[in-house]
Amino acid sequence: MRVVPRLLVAMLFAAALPAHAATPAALLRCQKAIHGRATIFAKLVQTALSNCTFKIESCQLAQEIDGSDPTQCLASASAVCAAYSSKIPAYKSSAGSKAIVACNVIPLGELQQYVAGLGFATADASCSIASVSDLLACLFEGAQCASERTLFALDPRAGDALATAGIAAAHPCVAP
Amino acid sequence: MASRAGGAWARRRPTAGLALVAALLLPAGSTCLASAELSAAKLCRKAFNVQGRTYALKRMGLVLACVDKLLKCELLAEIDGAAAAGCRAAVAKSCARRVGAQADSSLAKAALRFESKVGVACQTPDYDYTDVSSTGPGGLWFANDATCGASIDLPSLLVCVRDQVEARIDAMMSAVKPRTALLFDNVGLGADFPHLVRPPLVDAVLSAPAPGSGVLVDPGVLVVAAGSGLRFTGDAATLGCGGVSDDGRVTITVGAGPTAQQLTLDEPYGAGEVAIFGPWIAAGSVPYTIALQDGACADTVSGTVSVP
Repeated sequence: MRVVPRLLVAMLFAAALPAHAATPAALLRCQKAIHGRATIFAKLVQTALSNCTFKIESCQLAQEIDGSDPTQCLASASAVCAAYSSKIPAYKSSAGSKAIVACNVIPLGELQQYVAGLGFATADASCSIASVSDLLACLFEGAQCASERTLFALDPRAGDALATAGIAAAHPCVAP
Repeated sequence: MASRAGGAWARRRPTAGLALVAALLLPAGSTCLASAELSAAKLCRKAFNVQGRTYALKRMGLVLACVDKLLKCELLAEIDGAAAAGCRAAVAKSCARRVGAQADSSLAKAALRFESKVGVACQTPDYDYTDVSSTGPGGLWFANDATCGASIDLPSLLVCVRDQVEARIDAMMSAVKPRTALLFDNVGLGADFPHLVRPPLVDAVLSAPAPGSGVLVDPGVLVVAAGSGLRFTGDAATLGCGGVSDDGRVTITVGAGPTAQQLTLDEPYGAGEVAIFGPWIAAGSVPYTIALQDGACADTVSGTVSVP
């Protein structure tokens, strides 16, 4: 049996981990806050946008199948869609505000490291992250995009419906 | 009797008259008189939305709840030095019941509910797969879907669409809980979640110089780029030792002191049994120790993980 003394190895090659500030409970509280708020936010986005697209597509299908005049139907549906769409930024802001309460007590580095942390080092490379607040904003932006992409997977007409409603530009992830 | 019949007819005449007036006054194709096909189309469209959203949220809830528990085991070990193996095993067992691939897991039942409920709504005498797929008037445009558009029938379309939903939801879960994939991989659940995002991984295969020798080949310095993890697997052809084929174990410890990460590979070895460490995001070196125990055979090697 070959054994290199562990003490010697540890002395010669010390792990590059700084002293830890956050407790496991604090890290878990933050993580739960993030995924809990993200789940609620995703549900709100999907519900709002799928209700919108359903209204628009109902008008379109009525025209395509039964020959109904869609004008009034689409005008009414578009107004509802605009209202739904305008609420999403507020939902996102609320999700971020609630998550930050649990996460702001933790150093950003400990949220980013994997070992003894939450692993957010590989958060979306397109985000510039200098603070916990930046990280959360990036995460919820990504959650909105993922929700919109899920909507499109379930409804290939969704992009066209949102364009008809005049709100496609606010939801660019509703796309292939 | 005659007077009763006469009374009923007298009540029906104004109603019939009103219906005639309505038919004359209402425009052709009024939504008040939606065709059976239109009603069926809307029901099918709604089923995709509602059941799809229900499945997506159920999946998130089940997976993230499991990951929460696994994460707790690891953080208690990595920060407080608590023993993780027992915690991990207990959570893995309960999570397998909820999110495992077997048909009676909660997740599998949720997936089946999506397919069956949408299937019922979208395969009717008035509206069927041809319409669901169609990009023409009255269609739901699924033929446009780059991945699922070539599905030959509704059941295969629904399996494909569900997979697409899973890909997007799993990507979201990976973003809001980045350790999800590796936590699942280390307890044998990861294979059922191919869409979870994993960091780059450096592979190290543990082997013996000869089958049954009971001696470990020294892996030496393992160089792992910052942001990458280190994945160990065992060589099934050479690591086994002693007469019994399923009681061997390799215990891998990476890090120093009571907060070192420790995982085991159990016989039978191979690609399905992994131990993933890290990733590390700061440059430095981390010690490792690998201990083989299989019947009377035992060997230990030590070295370093170098993060340039």
